[in-house]
Amino acid sequence: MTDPYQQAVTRQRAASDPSASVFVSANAGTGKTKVLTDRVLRLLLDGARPEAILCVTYTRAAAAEMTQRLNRRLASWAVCPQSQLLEELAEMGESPASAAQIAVARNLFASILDNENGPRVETMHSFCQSVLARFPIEAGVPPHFQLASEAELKSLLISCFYQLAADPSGEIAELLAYLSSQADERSLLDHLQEIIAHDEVSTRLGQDPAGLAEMERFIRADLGWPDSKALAAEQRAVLDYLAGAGLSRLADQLAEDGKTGQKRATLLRQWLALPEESRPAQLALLAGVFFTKGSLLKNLASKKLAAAQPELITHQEQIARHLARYYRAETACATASRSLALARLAGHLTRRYQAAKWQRSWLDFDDLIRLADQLLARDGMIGWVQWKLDSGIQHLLVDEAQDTSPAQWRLLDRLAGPFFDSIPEAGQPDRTLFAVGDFKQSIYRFQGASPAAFASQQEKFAALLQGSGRQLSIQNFTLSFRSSRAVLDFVDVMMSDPAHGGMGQNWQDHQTYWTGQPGFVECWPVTTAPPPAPPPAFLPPEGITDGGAAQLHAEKVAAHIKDLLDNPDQQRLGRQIRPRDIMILLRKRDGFYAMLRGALARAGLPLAPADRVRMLNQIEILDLLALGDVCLFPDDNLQLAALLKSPLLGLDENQLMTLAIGRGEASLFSRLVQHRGADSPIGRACGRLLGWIDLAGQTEPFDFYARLLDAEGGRRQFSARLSRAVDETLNSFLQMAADFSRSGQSGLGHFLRAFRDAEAEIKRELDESKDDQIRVMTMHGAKGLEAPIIYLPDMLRPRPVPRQLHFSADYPFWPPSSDFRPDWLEGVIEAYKQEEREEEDRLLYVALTRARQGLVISGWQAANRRMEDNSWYEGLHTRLEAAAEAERLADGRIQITSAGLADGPAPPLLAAPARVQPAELEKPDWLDRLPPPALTPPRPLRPSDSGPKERIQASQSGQSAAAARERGRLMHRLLELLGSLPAEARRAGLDSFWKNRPQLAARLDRPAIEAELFALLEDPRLAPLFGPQALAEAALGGQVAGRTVAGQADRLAVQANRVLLADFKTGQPPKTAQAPQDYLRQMALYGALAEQIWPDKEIECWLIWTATGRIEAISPEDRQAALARLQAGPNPD
Amino acid sequence: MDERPGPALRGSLIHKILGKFLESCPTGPLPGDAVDQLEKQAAAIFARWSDNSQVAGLWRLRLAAALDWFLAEETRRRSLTERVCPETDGQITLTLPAGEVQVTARADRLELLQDGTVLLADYKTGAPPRKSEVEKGRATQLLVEAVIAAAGGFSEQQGQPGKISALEYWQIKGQAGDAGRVTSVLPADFDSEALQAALTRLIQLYDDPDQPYLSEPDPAVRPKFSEVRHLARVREWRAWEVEDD
Repeated sequence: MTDPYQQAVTRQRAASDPSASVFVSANAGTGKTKVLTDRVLRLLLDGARPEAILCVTYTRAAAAEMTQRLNRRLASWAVCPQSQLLEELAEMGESPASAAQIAVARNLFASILDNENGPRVETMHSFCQSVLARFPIEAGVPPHFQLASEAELKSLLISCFYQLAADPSGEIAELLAYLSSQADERSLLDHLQEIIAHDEVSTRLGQDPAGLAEMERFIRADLGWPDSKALAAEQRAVLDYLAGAGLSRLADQLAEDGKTGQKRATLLRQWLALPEESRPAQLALLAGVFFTKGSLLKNLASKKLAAAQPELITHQEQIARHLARYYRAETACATASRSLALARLAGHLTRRYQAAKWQRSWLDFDDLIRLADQLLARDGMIGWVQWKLDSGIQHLLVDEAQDTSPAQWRLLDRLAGPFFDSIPEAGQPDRTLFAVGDFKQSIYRFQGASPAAFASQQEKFAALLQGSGRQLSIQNFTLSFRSSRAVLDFVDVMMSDPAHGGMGQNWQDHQTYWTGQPGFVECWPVTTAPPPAPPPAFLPPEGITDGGAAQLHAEKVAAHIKDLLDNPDQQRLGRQIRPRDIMILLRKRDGFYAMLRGALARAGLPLAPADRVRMLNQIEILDLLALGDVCLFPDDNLQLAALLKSPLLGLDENQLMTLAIGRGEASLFSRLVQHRGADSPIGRACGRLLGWIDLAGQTEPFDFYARLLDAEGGRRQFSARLSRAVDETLNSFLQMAADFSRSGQSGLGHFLRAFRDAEAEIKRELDESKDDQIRVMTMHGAKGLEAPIIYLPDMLRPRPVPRQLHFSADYPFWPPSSDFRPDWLEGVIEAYKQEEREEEDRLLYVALTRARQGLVISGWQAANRRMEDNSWYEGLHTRLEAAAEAERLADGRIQITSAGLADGPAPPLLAAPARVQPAELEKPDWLDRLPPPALTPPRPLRPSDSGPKERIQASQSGQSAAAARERGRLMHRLLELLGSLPAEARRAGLDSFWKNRPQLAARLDRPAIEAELFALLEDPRLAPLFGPQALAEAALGGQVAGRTVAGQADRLAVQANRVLLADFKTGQPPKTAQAPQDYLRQMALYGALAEQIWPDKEIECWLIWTATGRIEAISPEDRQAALARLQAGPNPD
Repeated sequence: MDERPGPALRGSLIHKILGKFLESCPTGPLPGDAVDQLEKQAAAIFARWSDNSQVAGLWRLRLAAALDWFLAEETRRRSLTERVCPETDGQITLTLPAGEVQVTARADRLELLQDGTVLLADYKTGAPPRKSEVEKGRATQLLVEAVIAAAGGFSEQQGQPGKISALEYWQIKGQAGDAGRVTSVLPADFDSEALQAALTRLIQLYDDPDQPYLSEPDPAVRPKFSEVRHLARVREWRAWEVEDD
């Protein structure tokens, strides 16, 4: 037999061979990432252009990790000794390396550092996003589209749903009326969300009306399910049959046949006693006579009776057949109408939701893939896109291929398709495909990924290559560079069992590379607890009851870990165990997850932050929401009480009682404001709250909460009282408030609703290297991670809730709960369960293979609660018990250990990180101080602001001030517009002005305005101010007497030796000869600016009273005097 | 209102509709136009919510089926019932060592039956407590009402002590084929005097300053949704809720 290591190396080298296209199936821990990195490096060494390489990873984290690895390798190649470089190249399979390769290897780091286009290592989504951003017009997306967050999308979908409900007419109302009779709004909304999440299904249903017509055809023609008319016919048939079936005689016979017979007879007679017209609706009653849970009763008569009258049995069987047939038809009919109605509503919702997303220029992940796919599918587009993408991708690499969804494969096929249009040319580097994955780790079925898709993709690629005379090389990796022998042997025994259908036909046993590494697998007896004694009725509870077996189990796990960590003699890993060595994996995030974290925290163990945090479960967030509610509705007593007790206002129980007790019907808020101004905790709380209510009324949610948390010290109060880190949740909250405003929405009330609807979560990546902490997460979350010791503490679980919605043939099916299902539906449900079981197998495989050295398996049994059948615990426990080397310990634990071969290779010990005591820093005193207000430049002096805007006086005609202002604005506007036109065009211009503003024209006294207007426009004295050569609304700015001035003169004419500045005044001219002071000042400022601009010209400043045509030239002396007064006067700022 | 209306509001709307309707016909057989009257009450009470698509749209739709069921149930009952008293207030004075304590209650529905006994019912729009929970004293609402009714403490009883013949939950759903359901929860060993004594003792125990008023003492039976959970700041002090659940 060949050495497994040599064999593995050979396969690795074959997989990274840059001249071949390869499809790799790799067991967990066999070096997928390494082969991917090696392949990219070898492609580069082989002369591939960096930008011609596209490597698609499943997560951004994986992409970042890959890029980092590449850069590290290339950086070291640039400077390392020649011998090391040669060794590394040889290790990858480049042996002996050519001089050219060595030169390339030395230079790659520098050339890639400067090349931002390659090699591209990214997720499918970011690739699509960049393609769409590059070709927005071709793809038909808004050029400034954004990838919306999950929370934003969820709250948008919910509000779209309720908008649908607001449409009280037509088909939607009918659908809602029917669906509301089938489920409450919550489950309805859940089902709709689930359908929308299935991009392929919702896209199809959203196609009006084709998608639905197709579904209806499938149900009626292919499945033959009856509509209500057909069902009525079936009902008549079964009733006719029953009428002649001698039921009352049967009832008499059963009544004599023991206790069971009596019960059945009673039911039968109950139905027979119904009036004729009620019988059809009560047919279900008869199910109890012949069936139990949908299957025929085992004993249709006692043994004695059956022996005496065998025909009684066959007779009953016949009745039961008729009934069952009818019941199944009934379920089929109900399933059809429920499913079709739900699908129709989903279609409406999809369209509305898509339109709403579009309106906001939002795309989601599915949109990215779909739109990119549509873009590339268009005729000739692929070539154009390829050409634009730096002359094309020539090498495609796919990581985690088992998790690639069908839509993503389609897109990858499109990219790869044209690769092999032509036959390879000798001596030319060929294009290549590469995919690596492990279908045993395919756990994203809900996204459409499946082991079947993985397998068929391999065939597809093989066919594609064969078609052009190439070959797809297929490699299997089985040598694990991760786990100990104990773990791998156990995985082989457990998972190779054909009962685990999820592992497929071609199980390949794992081989251990680190045979020198000690390892173990242990399994604990099930933790149980007696059911808690019920508290006596009508007595106060004696104390806080614990959480039963689950709680006990959580404590047990915490104690076990504490013992491992505290005991320096522990040699299970061959070294001291650190918190970072431990990862706890759970199947679901539920009550036990919280209990376990609590138990670990109480045991004083360093715990990594939760990998996922539900915002609405955080009390600081609830406090902020309560504050928002109170600002909107101060009389919300409950929310106000909660807010008063929160760290933000900090009242204690007694203070709250002072306010709350004995207030009768009065609101809590009215009691609180009585303490306004009091120098007491309540008074101060009142003052703060009133300030916030004011602030909330004036600001947008983000500004409000940002100010509250930072300037007002809310953040400090939270962290002081909750004594834990709150910044992350608070910042996420603020981020959502900021996103809310950014997306164009406003208002505190709307924000609070959107926030609650979104049910947002914070997600964190918990990678090992960061901190010395224990990690707790779900098995799904642990994909791609590993740790020396894996705890699997909930291998026995309460039964899962059965699903209500099923997807088949790309349509949603929503059967009512019924014991009688049509065969096809039964098949769908069974197939679903089978798929679910198989995915569970794969999930278990993922969980077990996360362990480098040890597995600790356990479970708890809740009292009075049915646990699932065929649990993982059972399977794991049985297999471990049966192992030859199993030891049974005194406390009931079973374990197997592998000591590690003395001469076997072992990974370098991970040195325990030295505890670094952070230096005590003195807090700088500025840290808690608010920054000084930002300096703003002084407001420029506006000449026209220097006094009352316009001298509005009620004219003789009794015009209101507002009408006078409107007339004034209009006059200015018309002078501006018409004054710039040549004289002969002014009439026509005015006519079209009125024509476009019929309401204005009707409201105003047109003849008077026109008379006034043309008197000015045709005044020969003013001729230089009008016409194309003069400027209207001329902006002037500069410094006058040390002050910034900015303004606009109504008219400005620059002539050979003088400059004319004019301002129109539409108010009543003053009775006195002298213009008002503020007008003088205004013209003085314009004049002063003009003098600086045209120092060698004479400056003339005119005030023109439009009502009378009076022109008042302001003399230079008057202007000087006005400026002098301005300098002496108070600064208007 | 910007907040999405929740189950509490739905419950209170339905209570109001049924209460108002029954007020108009507390005795005798239901009027011939009962369907219209009930519908009119519903329309009047939902009118305030006409702007809210969730309430006026979805809830209203579901309500229709529930009301049909309610009328059928009500019609059936009228042959046994002397008088139906909706939303009725009752009280009882208990004598404790430290003084008298008044216990007050508002029953959703009290029926004075023709046989002279009293029936108490509570409408639920969510899941009602199970009979075992009532028997174990975990769901006490109807029991307290029963103690008051046994002493004749509801106004319509005019001081006449009542014999309690039934305690019921009316679950109002509005689902096709399952629009509503009446569950009888009268404990097998129901004894109003013993119950009154137990209630008195309970109050007396809580009348002691040293008696803690525990919040969610038994997490296994804590309500799934509790309005006062935030006020009690459970997430701040309960150890296993330090971060998340």
